[in-house]
Amino acid sequence: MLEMSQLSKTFKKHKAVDELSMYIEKGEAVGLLGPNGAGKSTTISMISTLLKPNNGTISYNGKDILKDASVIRPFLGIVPQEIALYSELSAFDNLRFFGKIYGLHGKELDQKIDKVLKLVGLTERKNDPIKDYSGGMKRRINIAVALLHDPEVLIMDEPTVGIDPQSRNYILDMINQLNVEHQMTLLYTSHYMDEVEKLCDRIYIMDMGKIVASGTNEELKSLLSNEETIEITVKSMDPLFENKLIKHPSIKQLTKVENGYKLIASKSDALLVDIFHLASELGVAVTGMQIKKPTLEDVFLHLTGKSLRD
Amino acid sequence: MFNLIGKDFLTLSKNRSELIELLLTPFLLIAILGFALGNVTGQTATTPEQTTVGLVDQSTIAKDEATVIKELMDAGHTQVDAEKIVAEFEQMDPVRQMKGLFQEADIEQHFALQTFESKEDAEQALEANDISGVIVVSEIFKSDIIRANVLQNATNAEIEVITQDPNQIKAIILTNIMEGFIQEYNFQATIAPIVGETVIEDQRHYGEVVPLTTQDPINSFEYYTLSMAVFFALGISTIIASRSFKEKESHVLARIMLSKRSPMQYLFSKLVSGILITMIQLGILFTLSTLIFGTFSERPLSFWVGIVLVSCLFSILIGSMGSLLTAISLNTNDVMVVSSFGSSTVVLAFLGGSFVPLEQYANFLKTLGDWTPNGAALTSYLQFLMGFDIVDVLPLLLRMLGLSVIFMIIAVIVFPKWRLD
Repeated sequence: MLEMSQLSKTFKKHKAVDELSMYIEKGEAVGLLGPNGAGKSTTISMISTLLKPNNGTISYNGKDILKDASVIRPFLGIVPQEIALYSELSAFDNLRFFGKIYGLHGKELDQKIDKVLKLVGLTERKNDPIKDYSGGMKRRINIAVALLHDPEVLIMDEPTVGIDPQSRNYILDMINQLNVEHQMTLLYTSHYMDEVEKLCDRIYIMDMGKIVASGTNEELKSLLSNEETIEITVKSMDPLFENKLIKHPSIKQLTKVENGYKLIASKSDALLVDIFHLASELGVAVTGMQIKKPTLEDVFLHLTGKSLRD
Repeated sequence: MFNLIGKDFLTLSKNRSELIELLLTPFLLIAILGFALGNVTGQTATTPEQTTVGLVDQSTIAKDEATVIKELMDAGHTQVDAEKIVAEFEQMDPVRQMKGLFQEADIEQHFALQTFESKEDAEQALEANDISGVIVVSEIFKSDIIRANVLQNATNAEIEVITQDPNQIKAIILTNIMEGFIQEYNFQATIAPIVGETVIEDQRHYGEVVPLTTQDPINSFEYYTLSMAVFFALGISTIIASRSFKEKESHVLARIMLSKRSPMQYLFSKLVSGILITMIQLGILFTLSTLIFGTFSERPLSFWVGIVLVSCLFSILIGSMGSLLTAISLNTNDVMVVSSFGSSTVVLAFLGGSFVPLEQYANFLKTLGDWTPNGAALTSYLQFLMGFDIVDVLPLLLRMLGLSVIFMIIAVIVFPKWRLD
């Protein structure tokens, strides 16, 4: 349905997107993960036809959108990370304005506005100015605007940033409903791994402008099938202990966490013995240890060397 | 595009601080400055100070008397009649009448008369800038009056008016006064033989000094209504541009671009919004000022036609400035140009004469001021207010239109073309 091939974009000397290829099938929910500066927003701008790539192609239903933007624009709903609304206007006025510029008028426009307001649960507050809304409510109207013209593809860039858990759950349920019940194709970027795990059928992991891995949640986790995650809690952090751990041949990655360390290491029976032995030798008091299956976050960390929030 | 314009109006109507900036602040300033600085403008500002004019009286019939009597007798008059006519004309002393004219209150406050013995002395004083003009009544003035009006065989008698620069306002006024005087004097000379009287002084009307216009002088409320209106209208261009930048930053613009709107439609909507908002702002300020302070209440229809014409052109200029600032800020992805322009409006306001009339300063300031958008508009308004003909105001009107076209062309060139198609 939507396919990008060898897409590149350079700003002056900085290569923001480097030969990126990805595809999204109709009705599929695809997550795009990457640290800040990975090139996610540039990719979204190119898919949205707001930015022209230096190289590569983007096609929608087999048609080149770089040659004719109208191939995709009427079918595209964009939810930017920013609250792309007029804060001094009410939700209703915002919806009416954006509906009109998308060519909706009269009864059809009124019906669509009612529908999206119901969907985001803000019918009662529709006449209040956006500036009086809570962060979560603003996010919901931000999504509602993108849904007004019944898009086939919904691109959401961090739609739940900075909102309370209740609003976040509401939005996630709503997005899930749109994808599952209305077969809306979804491209979703988020810093919250659990959101992507919950919503997306497939995930692309992006770093330095390139796709470094892709697949389903399980496929990505299987990249670390021979590894395990070990979380060690210590009484006090010790640089020497940390240094020795890094040099251990089974340990592939070490990250400092609160009161301890998180290790990604090859599965090995001897490793735990080695860790305890090392701690004893250096006088480090180990107060807890947990062995976990690798999460998507671990995969991300393993592939990019960065936390998702870096 | 109407949706985009409608949205601009809707958002502006909901923004209290911008409404205060555009309407309440200028109105309060009109009220304060109108009352407080009432003596800054007014008649004294538009009429010249008192100036001295030299008078050289060489007129006498004595030298020419015998010749004139002979000419009258040749024309069929008896010697007695001829001598009587000459005596009557001798009594119609033009210099005495002229002195009387220059003692009239309207004229005396602007011109003082200084008598010189010879034309040479007067010309020396003129060269030394001690006087601004010389009136010379020639030796044969009275004889020529008789020849012209009784014998009807000579052109009208003339009084010579010498000035250094005939285009100077004072020189023009003086010449006009003297032309009126001579016409009136000739009229009296013509009817004198008929009515058998010497002079009819109480019916004379030689002219008057009026302000440099045909209308009343400008009062402080008129001046500050116009000057504050054009000053605060500059703010509309910054409001339009800063809102556009905000639309880009919040990705509202991206949403608009993803609809069926082209970048040029968006830019054009900013132009039209700027024009309409300016027109409404000017309309509200002029109407309120007239309703509350009676500012323009007694002005004729021709003035209102002029006001509407200038307002339309100035609104187009403000709209084009808003579009240009929008284009530059979106192109550079920096709102600095808009804020810098916002700060510079005070300088433009001074140069444009929004705070004080620039006539009291150096000429180049006024010339420079008339090249600012607000200055050009203010001068155009004032010229219509003073009763200037549209032909006189036309250069400034064309200047505003020309600037608008230039700004729009640059805006179109600079405006980012996001769309791929």
